[in-house]
Amino acid sequence: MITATKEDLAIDVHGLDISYMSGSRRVNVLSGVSLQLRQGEVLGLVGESGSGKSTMAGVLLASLRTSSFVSSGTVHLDGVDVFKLAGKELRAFRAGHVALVPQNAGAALTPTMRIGEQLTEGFRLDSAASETCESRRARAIELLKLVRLPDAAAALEKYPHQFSGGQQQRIGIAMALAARPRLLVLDEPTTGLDVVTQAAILDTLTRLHKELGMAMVLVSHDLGVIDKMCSQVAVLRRGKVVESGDTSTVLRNPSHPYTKGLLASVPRVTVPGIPPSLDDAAIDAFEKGAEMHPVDGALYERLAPQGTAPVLTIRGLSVDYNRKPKPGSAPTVLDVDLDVHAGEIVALVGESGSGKSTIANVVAGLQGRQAGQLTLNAQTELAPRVAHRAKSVRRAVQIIFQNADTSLNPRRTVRDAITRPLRLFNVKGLTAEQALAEVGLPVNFTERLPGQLSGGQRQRVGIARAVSAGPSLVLADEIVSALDVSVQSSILRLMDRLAKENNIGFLFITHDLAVVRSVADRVVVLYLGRIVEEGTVSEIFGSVSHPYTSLLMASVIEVGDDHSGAIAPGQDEVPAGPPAQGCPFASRCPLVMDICRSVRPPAIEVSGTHSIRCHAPLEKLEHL
Amino acid sequence: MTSPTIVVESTQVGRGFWTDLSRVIRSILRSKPATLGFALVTLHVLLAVFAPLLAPGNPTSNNPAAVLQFPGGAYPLGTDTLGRDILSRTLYGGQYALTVSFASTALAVLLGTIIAGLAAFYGGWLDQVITRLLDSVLAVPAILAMLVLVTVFGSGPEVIVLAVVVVYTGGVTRVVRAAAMDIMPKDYIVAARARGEGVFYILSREVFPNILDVVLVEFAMRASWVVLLVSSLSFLGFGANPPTPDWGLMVAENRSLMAVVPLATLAPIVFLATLIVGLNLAADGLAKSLGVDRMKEILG
Repeated sequence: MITATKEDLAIDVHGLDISYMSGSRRVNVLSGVSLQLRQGEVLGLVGESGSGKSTMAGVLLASLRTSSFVSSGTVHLDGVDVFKLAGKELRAFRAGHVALVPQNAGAALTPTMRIGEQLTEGFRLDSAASETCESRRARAIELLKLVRLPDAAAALEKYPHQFSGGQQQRIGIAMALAARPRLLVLDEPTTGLDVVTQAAILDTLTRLHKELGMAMVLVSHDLGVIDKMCSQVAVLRRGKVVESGDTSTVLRNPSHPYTKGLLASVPRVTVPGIPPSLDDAAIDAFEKGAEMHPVDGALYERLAPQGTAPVLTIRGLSVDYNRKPKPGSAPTVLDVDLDVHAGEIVALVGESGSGKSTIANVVAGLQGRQAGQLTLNAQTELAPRVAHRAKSVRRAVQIIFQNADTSLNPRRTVRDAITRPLRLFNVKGLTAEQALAEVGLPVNFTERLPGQLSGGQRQRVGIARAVSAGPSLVLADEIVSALDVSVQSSILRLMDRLAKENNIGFLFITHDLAVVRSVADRVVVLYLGRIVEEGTVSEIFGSVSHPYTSLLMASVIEVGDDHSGAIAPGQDEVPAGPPAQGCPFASRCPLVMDICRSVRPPAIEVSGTHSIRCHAPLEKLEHL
Repeated sequence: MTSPTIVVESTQVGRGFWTDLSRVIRSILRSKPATLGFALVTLHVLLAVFAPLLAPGNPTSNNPAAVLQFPGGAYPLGTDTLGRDILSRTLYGGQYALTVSFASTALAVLLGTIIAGLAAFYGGWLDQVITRLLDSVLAVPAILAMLVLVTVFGSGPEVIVLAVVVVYTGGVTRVVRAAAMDIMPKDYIVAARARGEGVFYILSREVFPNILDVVLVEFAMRASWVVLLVSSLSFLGFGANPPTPDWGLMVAENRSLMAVVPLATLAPIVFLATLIVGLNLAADGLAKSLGVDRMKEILG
């Protein structure tokens, strides 16, 4: 425990209970939370959804959700008991002492206000900076330069939608810093961002912390991010702090079984195999005083199927959202060749805007195409639109969605959701109960509504709906990215089992390289709608790769990495669209040559299964 | 990820249609204005249905021997210029007002919902054509459009219903279309499209159950407007034909004698006012307990 005087502590939370009333029952969102943080240090709050970490972040801003209240305990920030403050004093405290960087800066910035105005609001109480028009402008530019926003002066006149997600997050950070807060609370600041952008933002935050020296609280579900950023960490589970202390101690030598389980369930880019899932029931028993059995930490390594028939063959697929070709622009997806074999999991990897969902929609018949041939099971041509496809074809291609919340109709029971495809496609001899058992759900779930299921259970229902139709190809669009890590691995194992037992080919769309490494057989790396590299999972994660793949790998942040390296500035600037000619990656590539800007790179065959589209010679593509 | 505690709670409550219904009823009963509203509407429906049993006399039979009587005796609220019992006319008046306005509102909402569903489902040029057409109908003042229709087609109850449908379908479509557009991009609709489901299935099974709350509130809200509109038409002499007992008509007939038999105008006015206030309160209560934000729906 930290021993320090009250003034040294940026945060001193003691025995805090936050509750709300459900009818006449009191429900604790946080119970018995005690935390301390010295000035200038960084605290990480880790936990899964429902652990109360966002509530905790709110508490540190002296704010609670409506209908919640402090039922016992105290919160001192900078020695001030913040829940004793009211009205003017509370406003003054918030204005000068604390600041929040929200998860989604795109939604947090006012869309109708210029960036300059929004920034100025932040330091309105700072009389020196807000005195004249010039001083306000100077301070705003200074703030934007602090967060490394390119072309800060021009940015003041722009609106939030004119920036990319990463740039919006930088502006959000600049706004939080505007009033020179003593405590900065960051609520999942990089969760919605691509890996490269995430790495760049975190580097910026590290630098800002060094320069400005305020205390920071970082709320995240990502243990790697916490490990990189924080000196202190508190692990939350169901509103209780189960473990806290120095980050290095807690994450290297966890003592609580929950922390151990959480660490074990995170898939790693460096290690193949699906990690074990977290045993929630055992941890509950441990909390009640039972003995914790040693967890089986073994990874499950998937074996790729050998020599199976192709279920999906894509040749020369091009998609252009512009009706007529516009000068200077190029098709969103260009000349994509792709194969998925029976029982195989093919990962389609890329950042947001790389066209991976577009390709899935084309395969599903929801999006038209300009060129290209799609063949199912090596015999049936896929019509461009779902309306022109035969019932057997529609049955053979099924989709699992990213967000299980919106993929199930909230007004229809689990049985309705599962039996509809069964009836539509005339599937005989399979009941809703059997379909549920297949995905590992209890059979009495059939009469439940989606609102009565947890996120992982909903995703299983979504999988049951897709698989019960008996498809040969399943399009799995980011199916684990909305789930907690502890649930994630059980869904990955389910996907592996279904691929093997039902001989289903999966086109698995994801941005998460660690998940790819754990479950995929083959990987296709997509950048701005063009394939840059393709190969088996070990080849992709091997020593020779496309510069873009290398950049992606270098940007992944994991527990136990050496976090000293930073990515080169400017590498996170993704162009708005693909260039009309040449290599799509030319604008960010460290190996760029003249030829890259004019000629489309050829495919270098590294091995029979591994190809890289690059002008650079093979030996330059090797990395360690 | 942001409201985990709420999710846990909703896992325990709400199971199927009947519990949903009882939850809505309970939440309505908790609010005094909403309870009052529903009580008023129920009272009016009961009065109209049982008017033949409750009314002391015949609402349409003239009695030259008892013209302009004061309240009392056989005429609890007195009589009008033709010697008709005011209480009986007022009670029977509810039948006309409620039947015509509920029938026309129901038709307008039904039609509007179907058009809105089709517009939201197909989108593109069809959506554009439908919305522009309805916008142009909405641009014409309601009462003017109704007067034109009534002048052309005569003034029977079926013409009034037609006129209300013409005038109000546009507004309903607009609100319901906004709600349906909100549902359309959801993944379960995408899933249904990818399965190759037809328009009818997607609209009736996937979309409408999720916008039923909006449709219900829309119905309750419009009904109060329609009651007023129908009575206004009668008042102007374009609605119910004499001697039909109707509130608007009664006010028109008796307003010149307001000083002599004040109850002949006051009674229908009080009935009309309580019905409209009741409908409004009920609609507001319904909207609140169903969680429909009226302002959001209208401003979209």
